Amino acid sequence: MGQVGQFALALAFVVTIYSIASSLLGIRLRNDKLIASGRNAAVCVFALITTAIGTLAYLFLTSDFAYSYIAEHSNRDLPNYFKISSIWGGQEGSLLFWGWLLTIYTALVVIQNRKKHTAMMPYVTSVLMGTSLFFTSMHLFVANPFKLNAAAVGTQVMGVFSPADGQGLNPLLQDPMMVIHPPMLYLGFVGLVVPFAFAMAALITRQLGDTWIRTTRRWTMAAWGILGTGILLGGFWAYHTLGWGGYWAWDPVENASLMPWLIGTAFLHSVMVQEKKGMLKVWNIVLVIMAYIMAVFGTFLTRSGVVNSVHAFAKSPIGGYFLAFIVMALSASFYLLIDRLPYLKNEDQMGSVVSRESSFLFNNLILLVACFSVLLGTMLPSLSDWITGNKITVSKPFFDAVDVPIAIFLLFLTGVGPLLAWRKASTNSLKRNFMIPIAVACATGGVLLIMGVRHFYAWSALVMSAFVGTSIIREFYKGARARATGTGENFFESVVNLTLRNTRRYGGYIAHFGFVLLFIGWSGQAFTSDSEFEAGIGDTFQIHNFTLRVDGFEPVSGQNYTGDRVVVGLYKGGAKVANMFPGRRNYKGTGEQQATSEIAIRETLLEDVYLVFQGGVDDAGKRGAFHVYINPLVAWVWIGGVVLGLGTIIALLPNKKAAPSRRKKEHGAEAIQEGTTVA
Amino acid sequence: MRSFIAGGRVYNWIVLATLLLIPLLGQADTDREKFVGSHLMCICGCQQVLTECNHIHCPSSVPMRAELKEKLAAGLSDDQVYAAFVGKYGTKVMAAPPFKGAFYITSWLLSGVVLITGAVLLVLYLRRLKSAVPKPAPAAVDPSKFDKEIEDELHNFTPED
Repeated sequence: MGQVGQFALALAFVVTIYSIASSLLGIRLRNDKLIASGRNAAVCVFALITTAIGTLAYLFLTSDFAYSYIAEHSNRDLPNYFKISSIWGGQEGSLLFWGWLLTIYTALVVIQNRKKHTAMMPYVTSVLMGTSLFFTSMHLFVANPFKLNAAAVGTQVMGVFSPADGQGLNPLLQDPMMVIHPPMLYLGFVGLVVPFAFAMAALITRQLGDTWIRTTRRWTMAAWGILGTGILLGGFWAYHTLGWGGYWAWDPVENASLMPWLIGTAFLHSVMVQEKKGMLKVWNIVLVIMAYIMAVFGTFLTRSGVVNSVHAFAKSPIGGYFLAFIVMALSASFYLLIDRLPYLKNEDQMGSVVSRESSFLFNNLILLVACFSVLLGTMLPSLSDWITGNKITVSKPFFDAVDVPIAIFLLFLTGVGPLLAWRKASTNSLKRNFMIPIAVACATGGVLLIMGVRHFYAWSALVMSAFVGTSIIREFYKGARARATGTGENFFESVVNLTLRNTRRYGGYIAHFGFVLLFIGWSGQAFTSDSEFEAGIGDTFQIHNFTLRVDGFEPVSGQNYTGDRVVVGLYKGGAKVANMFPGRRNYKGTGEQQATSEIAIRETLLEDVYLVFQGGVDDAGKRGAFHVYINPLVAWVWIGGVVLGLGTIIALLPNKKAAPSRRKKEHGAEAIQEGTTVA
Repeated sequence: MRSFIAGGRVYNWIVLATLLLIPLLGQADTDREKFVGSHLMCICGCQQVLTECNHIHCPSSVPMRAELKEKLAAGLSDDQVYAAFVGKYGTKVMAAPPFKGAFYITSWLLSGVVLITGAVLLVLYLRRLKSAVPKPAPAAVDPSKFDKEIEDELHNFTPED
């Protein structure tokens, strides 16, 4: 069956080349049929790569261990849904998955735009297929998931060897979150290829107006939102599975996903300046190129062995090919950009240092510096090794010291930017817009100090959160009040209609509010406390205002694991508030048994009680070692993520058309004048 | 709220009081073992700081943490503890690069320098542009001709970006 996948890959390789050639030749010869053929070939590539990945799924489900990828990442006891997620559990499969998602995006883009942008689309197809060609080459020649296990005697290959069982999937990946998290990340990464393809097509065709921006804005926002969701799901998985009490460790692989997201965030903001004022055209193309490069670079980082990471795939020669591709893409795109600079003149000028457009520039600067600092920290161990010959580690203390202040400054701008007017903000409007948020922020700061908060970063983050949160709520209040007065709607209706009538703006505010909640959650890390203890049945342990009592130990088993779990009663103020069930599992795998911790978390809006069972400490199995953490405000990270996602979805919706107004003319104009501050 | 703001006094007091309270801030007193341990790495390959390695019966973090406790109990300063660990496990045991030597100091400061330089250049750029923009000439048109347009816009009011 693997031959079907192998044949599909080979055919996809040929058809991809045909698609590029046909599209480019079609433009040169002005032959619409060739262009259409190139487009159809792109859809055909999607069908072929789908066949390949379908074949791989079949091989996993039938446990065909003659194929080395299946033997290394699955076993017979693995539940079927994890057999499917095993597709992206290793180097070769995850690359194929990346390539497959790219062909999905390509097919959607070419079908959606088959009758639009006739000059640009053949180039868009070519760029998308060019990226696809690189990945198909990798599948075929470097990281082939359909490689058979060779049975060898000495150096002589005697045939195909099919082991009785596979090595199993890494137990840490046997988590429902791991079924969703990697696809979301990849969808986000790959989605950033679409705006890049349109930007390149716009440069080639010299159609550098707003068309490519408007066409790709939703694609970019969707990719950015999906990537952000993927990152958060990764944090959620780490928190609920890894058992070290946190959700973000500045691991190189985590950083690799954060960098394109930061660039994407910068692009989504600066693109508004181009749409509104016809400015920052060069800058926007630079951001699109960087987002694309960072997405590929992130994939390179995790696969090249350049950085040490627990999440990285095994070191392989694939890194060199990726590096060559990145250099090629970077050179070609910047050559094009420089060549087309005369077509990228600003249509307007900046009005003032204190204006909405300049706040976007500062926002971009901070996001880029944030990306740069993450890149620097990620690469520093390798750079140190190359330059000084000294092997170092760069972990949380470095990133916390360098990036947290940048993040707080970014949060500050999140509050300031929307309050500034386009072109120039007058002193009066500044006073009017900033007074209440500043007052609330100051009051919050004072209350926090009185409450005993002394951690500078946490204090700053919470004060900034109060500032930004207030400014966002105030914007909704002002807009809704003006609308309610003008239309006769009640306040709630006004909020909803206001949001639906300008989804991009108010969706953006909701996303910003999600960002505020994320910061509130992150600031909780400053107040985390933990303790380790050993306890037997009936023993208690006190941490903060909680008491934990071990009530029993019991065996557990599943389809491919056995283990123990502990029943622990959680008490607060003498009353039982929860039963917790931390445990350990030993997963069945050929050769060795792999133990993992099953974390028990009692989550509330205020704090999490996070309990890890580290294992039995006596032979009778009636006494165990535990690690307990009190993690304040973590729930707000997940809530913030949901709100951020909701804001993104709203911003993606088309604006609701205006309904006939019920506004009372005699009062409306006055009310609106009072209510609106947006210049 | 408007009169409260307009009065300005309470507002000013809030701002002033907060500014006066800020010096109270500082790094929270934390458990020293946890603090020192958070600047060291577990060397088992988990890529986690020593205090966060959660490997069950980890062959590295368990003895390393015992060693840390022992050194702190012996009265060693933080720097002495770090030096002892670097001596035994190599520079990779530190969770962050040292703040010494041109290469590492540059690494620590580079992002901040880029941010400040970028911000200064941006302000200069914006000011230059501002001075280059000609001031608009006084309106020579009758503003009443826009009344209808304004009225229509207010009628369909939705705040714009």
